[in-house]
Parts: sequence; C-alpha cells; structure tokens
Amino acid sequence: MSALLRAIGGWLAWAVGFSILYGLHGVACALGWPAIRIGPVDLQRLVLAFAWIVSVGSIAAWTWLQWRAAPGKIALLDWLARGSAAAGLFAMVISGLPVVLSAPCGTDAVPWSRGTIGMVGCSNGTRCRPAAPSATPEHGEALAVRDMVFPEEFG
Amino acid sequence: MHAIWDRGPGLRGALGTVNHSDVGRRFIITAFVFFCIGRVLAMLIRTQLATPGSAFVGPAIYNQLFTMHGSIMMFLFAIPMIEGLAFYMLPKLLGARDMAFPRLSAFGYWCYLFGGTILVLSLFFGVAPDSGWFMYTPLSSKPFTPGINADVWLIGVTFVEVSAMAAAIEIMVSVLKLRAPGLRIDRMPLFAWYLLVTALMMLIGFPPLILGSILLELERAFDWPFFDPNRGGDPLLWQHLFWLFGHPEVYIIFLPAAGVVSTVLPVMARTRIIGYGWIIAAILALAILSFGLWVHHMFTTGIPHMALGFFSAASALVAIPTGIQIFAWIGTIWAGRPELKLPMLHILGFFVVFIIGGLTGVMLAMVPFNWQAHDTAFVTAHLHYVLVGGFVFPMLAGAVYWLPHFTGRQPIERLGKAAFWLIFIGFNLTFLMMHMVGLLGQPRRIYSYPEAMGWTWYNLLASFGSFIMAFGFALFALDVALQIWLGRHTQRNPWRAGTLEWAMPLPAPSYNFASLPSVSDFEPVTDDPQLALKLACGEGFLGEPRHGWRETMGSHMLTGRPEYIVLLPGNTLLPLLTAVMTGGFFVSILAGVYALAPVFLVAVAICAWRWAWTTTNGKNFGLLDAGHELALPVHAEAPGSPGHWGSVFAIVADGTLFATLVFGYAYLWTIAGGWPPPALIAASPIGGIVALAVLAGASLAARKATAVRATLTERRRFLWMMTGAQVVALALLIHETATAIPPPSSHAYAATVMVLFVYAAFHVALALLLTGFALARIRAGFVSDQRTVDVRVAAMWHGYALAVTAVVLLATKVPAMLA
Repeated sequence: MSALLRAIGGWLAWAVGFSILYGLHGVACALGWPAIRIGPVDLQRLVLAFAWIVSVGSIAAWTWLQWRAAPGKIALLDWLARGSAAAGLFAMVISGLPVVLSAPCGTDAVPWSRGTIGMVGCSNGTRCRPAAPSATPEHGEALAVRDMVFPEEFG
Repeated sequence: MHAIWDRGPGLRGALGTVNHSDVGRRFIITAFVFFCIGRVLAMLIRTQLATPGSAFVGPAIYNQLFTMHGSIMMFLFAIPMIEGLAFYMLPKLLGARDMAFPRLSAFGYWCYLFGGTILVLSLFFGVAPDSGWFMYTPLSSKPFTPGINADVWLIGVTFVEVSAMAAAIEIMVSVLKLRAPGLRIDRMPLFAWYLLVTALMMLIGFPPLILGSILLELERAFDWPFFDPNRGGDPLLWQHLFWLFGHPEVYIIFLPAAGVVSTVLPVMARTRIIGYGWIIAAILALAILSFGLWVHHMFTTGIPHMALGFFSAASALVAIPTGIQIFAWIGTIWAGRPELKLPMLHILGFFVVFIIGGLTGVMLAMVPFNWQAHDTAFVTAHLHYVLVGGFVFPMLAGAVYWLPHFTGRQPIERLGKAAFWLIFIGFNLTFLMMHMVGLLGQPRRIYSYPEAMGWTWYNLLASFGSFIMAFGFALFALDVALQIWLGRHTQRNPWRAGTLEWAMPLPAPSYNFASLPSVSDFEPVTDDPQLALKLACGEGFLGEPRHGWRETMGSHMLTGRPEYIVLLPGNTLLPLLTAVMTGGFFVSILAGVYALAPVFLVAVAICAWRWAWTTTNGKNFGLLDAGHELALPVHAEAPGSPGHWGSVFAIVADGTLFATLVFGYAYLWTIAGGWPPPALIAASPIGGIVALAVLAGASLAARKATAVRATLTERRRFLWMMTGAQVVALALLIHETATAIPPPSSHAYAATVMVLFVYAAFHVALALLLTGFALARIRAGFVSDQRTVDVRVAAMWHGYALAVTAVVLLATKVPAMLA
C-alpha cells in the first residue's frame, strides 16, 4: 500500500498545499488581514506567499527524494512516484500564482436575475441579498444586488 | 463448478443470487431502464422548449422534469452503469471468479433499485424533486420547497449512494487483492486501473454529498439551520458540499468510460496501447486534481478574486492529463492498423464530441467567460458534450464490443451503424444549437420564452435533434434485442483481443474460469492463444472443486504473488433483507414517521450481525492445495484478508465524511454571518476528558487484543476492557449531547456541534457493537490464533472512534473554554 501511496505522493502533497492556501485565504479575508500592512505588503499576502513558498519547497524536497530513492519492487510505481512528484510541484507553482498576482479579497458584482440567496436587508431600504456572503464591508466590498424574487411570491 | 457458482432455481434463486455476473447484468439493465426514463423526460423538456410560449407543461411540472432528468442521468444511470460494468467485467479481466464481497454487491443493487424506484415513483405522484439536480439552498429549503419534493431527492439519492459506496469498497479490494497469480500491478489491464482510481474517487467524492444531504434533511425535518443565513447558516455551504462531490463526479463518470476506450481502441487498431505508464500517470493526476476544481462551479457567487485565481488555474491544469490520454489514443491509432468496425465508430464519435466538450470546458474555466456564460444554455450544452461524449459514446462502444460476451452472439453491424449515426447527428444538432442559443443569452431551466428573443429556430432545431437521437437509442435497443434473440453464435474471441475476459466460453459461465490463469504478460490471451482451452481443461490454479466452496485466489497487491485462497459466500437472501430494512429506515424518514427510523436501524444492525456471522465458518483448515504444487491458507487464516482491507477503505470513506463535517463547521465559523453564536457548548471539559481518557486507555487494550502472540483468554480479557471503556465513553458523550449543547434549531453552531457529537457517539456505539461481535465470535469458537480478523476489525474501529471523539472534543470544547 505504501508503494501505491508513494505513486501519488506528489499529487497528495499538492492537495494539501492547495487546501492550506485556500483555507488560509478564507481565514485571512474573514479576519481582515488585508488591512494590516507589514512593510510594502499586507499581512494576508505575506502569510499566503509564505505558505505557497513552503508548499513549493516541501514538494520540491519530496521530488528530490523520489528521484534519489532506491528502486522498489515495481519499476512502474517508482516512475509514477517521480512523475507525480514533479507534476505536483508544477501544479503547486501554477495554482499558487494568484497569491502574488491577484487582489486579495475583492469581489465583483454579478447581476443576478433569478432566485434568491438569503434575504438580508440593505441600508437604503431595498431588500437585497449579499452577492458575496463571504465578503465583509471593510475588506470585501460587500456588494449587494437587487434580488428579483422574494419569499412572499412563493406564497 | 456451475452447480457451485450458479444462482439456484426459482424465485428464491433469483432474489438470493450474489454472483457477480448476475448482479452486474442487473445493474446494467436497470440503469438502461432508468436511462430510457431520463430520455423520455428529456424529450418532454425539448417538446416544451420547441416553440415560444408553449403550453405543453406548466412551470411546476417543467421544474420536476428537468430536475428528474438530471438526477436520473447522474445518479440512476451513469454511476450504476459503471458499477454494473465493473461488477460484471472486473473479475473476468483480473482472472478471478467473483468480486471480493459478493453479498455487498447484491446489497448495493437492491439499495440502488429501491432508492431509484422511490425517485421515479415520485414523478407519478406529482411530488418529484423540482429544485434542479444540484438542489441549491435556499430554493430547496423548507420555506421555498414546503412539500416533500426535496425530501424525495435527499432520501432517494442518499439511498442510492449507499450502493455507490459499497461498490467503491468492493472494486478497490477486488482490484488490489483478487488478481490472478502473476498479474502484477504493472501488467494490470488499463480498465482495472481506471476502475481502481474511480473507486478511490467515489470513496472520497461521495461522502460530502451524503453529508450535505443529511444536513439539508435535518434542516428541513427539524429546522436545524445549517443553510439559513438568519441563524448563522450559509446557503453557500451547500454549494461547497455539493460541488466537492459534483466536480469529481464528472471524472468518476468519465474515467471508467475512458477505460473502455483504452481497452477497445487498441483492439480495433490491432495493436497494443501506447503510453501505458503515461495513461496511468494521467488518470492519477486527474483523480487528485479533480478534487481541487469544485469552486469553478461557483465562480459567480461572489468569491474573492484570489480564490477564483486558485481554482481557475487548477481547472486549466486538468486539461493536461486529459490531453495526455487523447494523445496516447491518437498515437495508438497511428501506430496500428485500425478497422472501422462498430465499436471504433462509437470511439470516433467520442473523440469528436468529447474534445468539443473539453474545449468549451477550458473556456468555462476562464473566469471572465464563465461570468458571461454562467447559467445559460451554453453550460447545459457543454456538460452534455462532456458527459455524453465522455461517457455515453464510450459506453456504447463498450456495449457493442462486450455484448458477445453477455449474449454469446454476433452483433448486427448494419443496424448498429444506423443507430450510431442517428445518435451522433441528433446529439450534435441538439447541443450545438444549445451552445449558440446560450451565447445569445437563453438561461438554462426556463420553461418558456417570448418569440421576440430570437431563440425560436435554435430551440426548434435542438428539439428536432433530440428526437432524432431518441430514434437512434431506440434502434440501438432493437439491435441488442435482435442480437440476443436472432444473432448467430459467436466464436470465443471475436475481436481477437488479448485480455483475460476472452479466455472463457461465451456467454460467460457462472464461474468464469474452470481453473485460474497464471499471468506473465499484458495480454495473456495474445501471449498464449490456447489459454482458454487450457483453463477449461483445469490446467490452471484451483481447478478442482472442493466441498462445494466458492474459491478464488487472493494475491499480493503489487506482485500478484498468491497469498491465500478466498472462500466466497454463497447465495443468500440476507442482502435483500438488509436492503429492505435500510429502505424502511429511509422511507420512515421520508414519511415523517421518525419513531420508526431507529427500529429499522436496529433491524439493519441485526441483519449486519447475521451477515458478518455467516461470512466464515469456525474451522482452521491449514494449508490447502491450490494446484501446481502450491499450498495456501484460506483468507480467514492469513493476514491482510479482503475483510481487513474492506474495513480500511470503509474508514477512509467515513473519515472523509467526518473531515467534510469539520470543514463545514470551520467554514461557518469563519465565513457565515451571525457568528460568534449567542450561546456556546458548556465549557466544562471534565466529561469529555474522561471519555477520551477511557477510550485512549482502551486503545492500549485493543493493541494487546490484536497482538500476534496473545492467547484467546487474553484477547477476551482485553476485549472486555474495551467494552467497558466504550460503554463509559458512550454514556458520557450522550450526557454531553443531551445537556451541554444549546438547542440545535437556535443557531447553525448548535446544530453543527450537535451533529459532531452525535457522529462521535454513533462511532463509539459502532465500536462497541463490533467489540461485542468479536467477543461473541470468540465464545462461539470462530476466533483462533490464526483467525483474528474479527478482533482486528473491532480494534480498527475503536481507534477510529477514539480519533473522532478527540477531534470533536477539541473542536468544540476549546473555543468554548477560550470564549
């Protein structure tokens, strides 16, 4: 079983790294880290960049270990272990790029013509829903858009 | 051999059969029946949309039509068809006589049949689900869907998912442990690799949906507000849970079909597959990557830019392993001498349709385009190109290719080709038009549209194409029927293929192989054209029937070295009875008779007890002759038996469900509005610490109970210690659940914490049940120094119960203490 797990080790490592990035990103937006400046960058970007570099570094180390590992019982599984490690490394680099390229917690309004997601009152008296339930007024540009369907219409 | 493996006479034989060929055939036929029902619904949808302002059906019925069409095709057709093909074909490809847990396959089938029947019957009573196949909250929540329509979906689909989980465990253990001697993992047929990876994905992909369905049903039934933003819930949590399942689901459907392509295509091209290792690398990559894409179904929900970037990048990456497979297939055609026989025609159809679907998939992975096309008919067209291209055409190729195996008769090419062209033309006409009308702005799921929108001709042509496609499928069904009744008898290996399923008489006998092969090549039949004859003459392993036992070989996961003889159980009504009791549980919830649900749960536990009790008999057999001077123990007397691995994979699935539950808890805590909650769980940790301490102490006892050198008396003593600890821990957890948690309907926090505690208590109770079972088996003389699997399984689940209790207490008590 361990040989089989090794064969997908690189991808499993990517899955862990990717989950950490996404999870940290959610926590950072919720706790308002983008508003906390540390030198030229904000706390969120700093933490995420660090997590990304650690993830890439860990998978790179795993890849290096796989390429140096002694051959096992099944040559194909050794090859898969090396291949998945290299592919996981590549995937980690690519899928983590938004850490340095995109805006941290901003969202965009998407006009929504049907349906209703959680009725929340707006300040101007119009009943609206938040387009981004995850966004906060301070950091997430809580964008509310008019909702066309209201509960009463369902009788 | 036939007398040993056959189903037996009469109705009892038909209901009690556990033979993999019977169960596989039933899955396939039932899935095809559901497919026909789904197709009829699709035609009704297209009839409604054919003209503007149509009065064919009203919006309420239309909502049921499209919801049921999607749900049937996804849950009652695609996945069960895969299960059926896997059950029928895997043992034959692997050189085995059955799957690892034949009764589990039969149980899965009955669950599927009953769950599917609940869903379909709801159509006739006018209470079919009507919130779309992904059942978004709050539309599917009680205030907006007050009837039982949504409950039918949640209950019916969860019932069917029980079948899928059973199949996943079964497939994994069968592929890893029940291969013919010498069938090393690097010589395994690609189809088995695909199914292994698919089963792993099902094991991890389905629990989030099961959890989501449980939570939504709890919300609907008891007003526990997991998805209600006014009480700390979040509708987006449902979307996360659904798509955590829903996106891998696409690959769960695609990969087995790609496995069919990788099996059939080289035979049609009269060569060997190119890039065996690369294809395996690609499917492993797809399997893991597909779990990192789910948010691309939620690009328009207002998710922050950076998260969009993460998932857009991962979505684009997935094109690479898909491309590797496509290139391997093209290379194989290039290197071979392809013949344009009927299976090849379907494969070419697959190439055209799936590649278009893949390209529109890359378009939709790009956030700006996704925002433009979201919720339009373009997305509907894309998903049909992916699923029909990536699943239906390959399965049609597989059907035509393997039908002689089922029927023992030759296909009728001309009729089959006419069916192909009707399906191909009809499909492209329908969904090409839908791409266009989607780009013109037609939203999906509308029941009507005004003529002034300019969508009329596109819709009319799409509807016309849909009916052409329906004629094609009808012709295909006719072709199959004619082949069964009028086709000429086929020769043993009509396609001159090299894989093991062709090394047997056609139609396949109930026992598959009179004796089991020894494999030393990728294509054993090509390697030794006389193999079928030799096996039929009993020249392989386990060729002598013994005591009426159902015997097959258990081998090393990697090397295929024989390790033990697996004694499989015979026909029994237990799977049917257990499925009926499981159905009783689900139906009592659906009917709102909640008091009956625990009664059925106890009945299920009694059936399961009886089931496990009759798995093995109580004798030590020592080493038995397996043929070719090889002597092996039976599986119950060897380490690493199928039952052991079945438990391991069940824990993996269960652990995924638990991890998803913890994710949901963390998600609500971090993201949802209305947090922190008004009231937290009582902060006192004493009860929890005591529960944890006794369980941890008992895990030491569990370790000693499973020690190799332990005597039976010692094992019994340690099991009793475990029992005592489990009783104490269970009582403490129940007390905590009853007294320390705020009312679950008050806030999503309280509801989630309640579910966490119930989950932990349930698993301690399960560990208690299994420990009691192990004690009873010792008392009855079923456990010996060699036969310890019952004790080891009990210890394994005890460890799991300890782990989840620890996580639940940490996740709930620590925040309460810090507050």
